[in-house]
Amino acid sequence: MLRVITTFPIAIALLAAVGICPQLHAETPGLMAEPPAEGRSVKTDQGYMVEYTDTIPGTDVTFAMVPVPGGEYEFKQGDKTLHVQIEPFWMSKTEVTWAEYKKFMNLAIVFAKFDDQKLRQVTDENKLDAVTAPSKLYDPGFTYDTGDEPNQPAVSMTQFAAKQYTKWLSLLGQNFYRLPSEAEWEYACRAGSTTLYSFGDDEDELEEYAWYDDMNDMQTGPVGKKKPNAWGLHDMHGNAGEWVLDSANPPADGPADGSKATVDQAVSWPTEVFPRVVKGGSWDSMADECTVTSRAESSQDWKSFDPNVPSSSWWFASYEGQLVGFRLVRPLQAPERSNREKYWQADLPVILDHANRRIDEEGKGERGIVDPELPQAIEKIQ
Amino acid sequence: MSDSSSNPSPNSRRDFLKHSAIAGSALAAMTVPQYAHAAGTDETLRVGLIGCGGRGRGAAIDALMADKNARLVALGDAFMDRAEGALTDFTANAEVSDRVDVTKETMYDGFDNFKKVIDSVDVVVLATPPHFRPEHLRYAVEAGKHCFVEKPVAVDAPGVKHVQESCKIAAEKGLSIVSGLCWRYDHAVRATMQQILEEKAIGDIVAIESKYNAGTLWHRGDNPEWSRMEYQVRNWLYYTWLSGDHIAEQAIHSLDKCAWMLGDEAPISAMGIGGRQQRTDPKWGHIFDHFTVFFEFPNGKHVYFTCRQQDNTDTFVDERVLGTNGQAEVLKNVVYDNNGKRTWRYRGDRPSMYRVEHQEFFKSIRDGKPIANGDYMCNSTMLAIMGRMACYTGKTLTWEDCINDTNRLGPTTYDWVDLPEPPVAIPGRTQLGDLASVYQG
Repeated sequence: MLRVITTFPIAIALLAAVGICPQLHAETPGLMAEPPAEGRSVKTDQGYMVEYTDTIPGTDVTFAMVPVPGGEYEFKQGDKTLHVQIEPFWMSKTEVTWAEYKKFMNLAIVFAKFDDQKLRQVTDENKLDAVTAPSKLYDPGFTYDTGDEPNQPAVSMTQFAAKQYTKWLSLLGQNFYRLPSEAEWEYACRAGSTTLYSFGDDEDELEEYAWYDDMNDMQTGPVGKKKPNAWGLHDMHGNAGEWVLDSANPPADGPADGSKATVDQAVSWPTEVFPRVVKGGSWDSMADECTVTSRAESSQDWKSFDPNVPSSSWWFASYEGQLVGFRLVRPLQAPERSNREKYWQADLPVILDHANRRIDEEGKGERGIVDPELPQAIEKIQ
Repeated sequence: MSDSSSNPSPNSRRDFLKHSAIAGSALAAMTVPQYAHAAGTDETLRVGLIGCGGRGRGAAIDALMADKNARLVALGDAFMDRAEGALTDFTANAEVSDRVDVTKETMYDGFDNFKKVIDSVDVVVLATPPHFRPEHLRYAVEAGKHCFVEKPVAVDAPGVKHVQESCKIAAEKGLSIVSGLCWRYDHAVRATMQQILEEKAIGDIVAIESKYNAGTLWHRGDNPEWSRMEYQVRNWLYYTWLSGDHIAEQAIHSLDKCAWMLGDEAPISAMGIGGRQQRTDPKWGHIFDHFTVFFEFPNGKHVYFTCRQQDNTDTFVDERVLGTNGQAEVLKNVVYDNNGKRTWRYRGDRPSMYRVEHQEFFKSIRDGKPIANGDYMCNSTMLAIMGRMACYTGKTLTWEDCINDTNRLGPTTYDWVDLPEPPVAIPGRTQLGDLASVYQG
């Protein structure tokens, strides 16, 4: 009873705050009915998109998302140019940090405990909402060589692991998160510019905006410390390279009638495990590898330091892995639940098969259900 | 630098160890090496894998990648499902699958699988849990086979001595013994060691702060149909007789780098503190989850070593080398001066050390110039066992206390029975012989 009494006034205060604040819904963070008094906003027919900070449910870890307006983007890949209609979205203000990613990594311990106690088991009925948690690190050095402080970008995860992170984060709460497409990523990085870098063409200015050329003693930089681009996005150039949804093969042609391609149509959906696209250059890239259109391509070699076969589904174990992280997007218009798997799940049977074998035969990695009740269930077993 | 070509002074402790191990042996009389003939470049080398876990599968693929005329012809594992899983992986690997000649008839299970594999190959990859290594290696070298030997090479002192003798036989027969202590084959670490040992970039080494602090590892669950022997072998990490405990199974990589820097000399003594705080559930067997060991080496050098496997603790894996004229971090491949300013960083190529060790292994066979990693792989294994002994007993132990310990861990015959488990060691109460006596009842 004491608990109810003490929380009651707080609940009242919260309700009052929502009433005063011109937010449309408490559960629609980042969207306001009226333009904010200060700060950027993006006008849409659903309201004004603003920057917001969200908390990973069940933790005290927060992350900030900034609005990116819709628009048309001329997306060039090789000799191909696609005119892409970009729909409005929010994008992580910084790369996903170790503070955030380690909460996801912790699922390996949590899911194992659930399995020991036969709790929250994955069944045919609920398996759509299952994620695979990254395996525990055999040699943490491979993963944390470039630092694992809470404010450093998480690196070394496979694209599959990054996608599973977005699924986990989405299913914990109400908002749909996914990786950006390459076209979205470039468009957001440009923030309206047409130059090599978001701030212009002069690479001498790059150090104000980017961690690159090993300027932090073999470490990634703390996120958000360098200047942002015009839309408030930090570290798009340098620091961790960033996964996008695309394979490194050219995208399909745009619509035959010459109309603009949707974001989904402009994605080069992968048909092989490698190569996939990593954008923006890294903490160890040279300036000319950190432009808006720069891309690195993942390869099987990034797993050559993995001593085991099948190799990890969730981790690289190489110098190149130390260069790769990711950030989130949340489209204003979220797809139906049935259309979300293509952003979240293994896109090739071989990726899923390896993950399943690692889990079922080797005891490496874990599988579990993610829903809004997960944080309480975790609290209960600890 | 890859092989054990360092030249210890004749009176060094290491030399003593090496010679005492074979003293009185008839082998000592066989002084003329009978080199196996060089395989040339075109001859097919038949490769067999014993121990079909993740590492064994990786090593077999590394072997095939290293040599285009190597063919994988036989697999051995205590369990047929593990051998079958390995074959699935080999078949699925487009780069090597055309050189996998394994059939149902050349996959062997049970505890004697190793004999059938070794009998049918030229080169063998030994990748079972470490307990079985001494027996497998001896059979392989007696049969005249080149060996890739995963770390650690034993779980007790009698096992280390047995492996030392096997390496002597291998040397006499001109067989290559390549160790799975892979950092010795890493280009960046080799370059860093060259800075430390040859360029004297940090002056003389005073002490090494060595850490292998990590989280917990896998568990393969239980099955009501499994005997306790099967349960232990499938979850071998958690039983000292099988793995040597995590100080030997995993953290040996750190101790091996320390040994490398100190000339692969045996230490004088070890004092250690260890125990089990987090991983207390019976499913984790009886091994510890943390060790701290202070090793004293000749000439006043010290190694301050920690390792742990505990979740939600800060992890760190590297050696910080303290010199009279600066410091180095080995895995980070950097050297600092005495003011903390970085004076060197590795910028060269970074081929996979797992690939490199097999490339050098197969080249040594082709060229008829055998690699002999036996000395350091035995010494580093014994370092880890010594650290474990000091922590289990709570006693400061000399090298002689440890290398002369005669307690052999594990059952003397292998069968799918309900094997007992030793209790978790308690410093101050546990004696060196306690772990062995469990299996003698």
